[in-house]
Amino acid sequence: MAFTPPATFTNGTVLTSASLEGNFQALRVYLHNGIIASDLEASQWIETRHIQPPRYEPFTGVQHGVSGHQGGQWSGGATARLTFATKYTTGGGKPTTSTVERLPGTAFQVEIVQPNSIVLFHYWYEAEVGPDFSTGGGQVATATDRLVWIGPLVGNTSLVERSRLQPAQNHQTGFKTSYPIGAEKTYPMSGGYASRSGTLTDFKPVGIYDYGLVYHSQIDRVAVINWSVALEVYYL
Amino acid sequence: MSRINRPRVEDGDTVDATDLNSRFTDYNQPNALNAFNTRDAAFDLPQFENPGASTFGFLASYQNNAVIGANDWKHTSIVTVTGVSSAPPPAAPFIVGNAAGAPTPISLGAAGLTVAAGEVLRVYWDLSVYPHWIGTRPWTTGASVDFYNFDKGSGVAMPVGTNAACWVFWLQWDITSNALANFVEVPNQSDFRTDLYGDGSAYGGQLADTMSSSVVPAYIDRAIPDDGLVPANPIQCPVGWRGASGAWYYPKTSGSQTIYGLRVVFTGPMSPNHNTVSGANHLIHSVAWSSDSRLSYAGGSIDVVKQRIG
Repeated sequence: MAFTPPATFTNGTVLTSASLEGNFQALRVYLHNGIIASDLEASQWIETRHIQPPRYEPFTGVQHGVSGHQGGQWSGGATARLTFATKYTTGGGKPTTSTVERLPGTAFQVEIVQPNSIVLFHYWYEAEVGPDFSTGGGQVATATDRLVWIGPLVGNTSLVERSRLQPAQNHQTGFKTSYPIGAEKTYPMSGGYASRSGTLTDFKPVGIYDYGLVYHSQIDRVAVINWSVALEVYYL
Repeated sequence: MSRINRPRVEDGDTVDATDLNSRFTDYNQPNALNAFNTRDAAFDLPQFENPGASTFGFLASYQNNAVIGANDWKHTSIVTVTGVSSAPPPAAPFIVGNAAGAPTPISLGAAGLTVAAGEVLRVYWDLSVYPHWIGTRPWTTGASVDFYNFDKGSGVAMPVGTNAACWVFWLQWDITSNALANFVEVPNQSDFRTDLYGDGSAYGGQLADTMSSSVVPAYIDRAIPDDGLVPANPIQCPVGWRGASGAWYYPKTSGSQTIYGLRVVFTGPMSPNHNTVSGANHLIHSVAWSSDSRLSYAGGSIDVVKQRIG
């Protein structure tokens, strides 16, 4: 809100303490979470040195300043941190299960120090899916129907929005059943390659949050060969 | 500069209403707070209003998201459409909706969301999709533009898919009212229904008009050559369930635009095409086998953020 004193005084009228205190109280409110965008000078005058003494967090790859967080992590290029998803932690490939687990190594933690901050969480990953032609155990019966879902983590796994999980299918053709068992053709040619990306936006209260990737897999081996996550948090 | 510089009241001074009022209205200074206040006089973060559920933030001033499509991540309740038929001009795009067929746009409120000069609208979406087809390698149908002919021996031709056919998704907005009944393509976005050569031979859009578009492959066709010849039996490989996603930015440099809603639409199958006369690259409707093509989708999300630029 812009500041407007609730009481306007007129010569010749009784000056009350209540009206004075009312104005003081309104001023206190204004000066604590009351300044809005239209109070600012319209022409550009903000420079980084004015409002954002940055602090770089080396472990998270995120810069935290007065106005929020900016930054992210990636799998590391030449020193890539390959990671994986597997059905053995999310129900063993049974079609009725819906548990999700963190994709190892892709999560990081940030502290949001202002209430109702606007958050944008960007993610991307590239995976080689399967092949998993194993039998039995109540799994999805047709091996080529088996899927893996990977999506954004915010907070903890109990809060994952299932509608944001993006699927990828098991390796479809070109599976070798003789030694060495595995994919015979390249993953893009065999339907088992996945490159996915997305962005999640949110309001967040003050708190410490984990951001990263989660998965639900019906496939025994999903190699996530590249990934990146990035965060924008705006306090103002 | 918005510095308040008024002498304090001293013993013996007379305070009248004008002076008293001024000591409060001094703080009402729209468009005045500047470097002096935030640097020299040090207004600090707690003194600025948080965005909250309102739209008062000034770095990021608005955020909203919605579930789109048939919200069923295990794909037991999905929507399936058949490719756009050959009757020109191509039918209007398919609208992403729920399992009952009702569109699932995101509403930006009764009053809409106004993007003013110096602001940018950022839109992100994702959707779980499943391109598939009926029959065997229908893209090799005679009139299809989606295959090459290779030699499989003795000069006998073997058609192999280009693997370039796709389904294309894009954004529409409603800038008329919150009734959300007048969606049109967002700026710099084709509806892929243009008669590109003026003779009805190809309908689609130029790549220059695909600002909010995303594509997913319509099929995978595989033929690995051996000794200079393609095999007699190329393999069609399912594309399968996958995530499609897109991003679109709308920077406003002058004037303003009020937006009431956005939605994701799609069409297909489409193929690349190069106009040797105009030099433009196109995506055109691949109608020769479209009746055999299918696109299923489940659920996804759409996210909207408005920010100040600079």
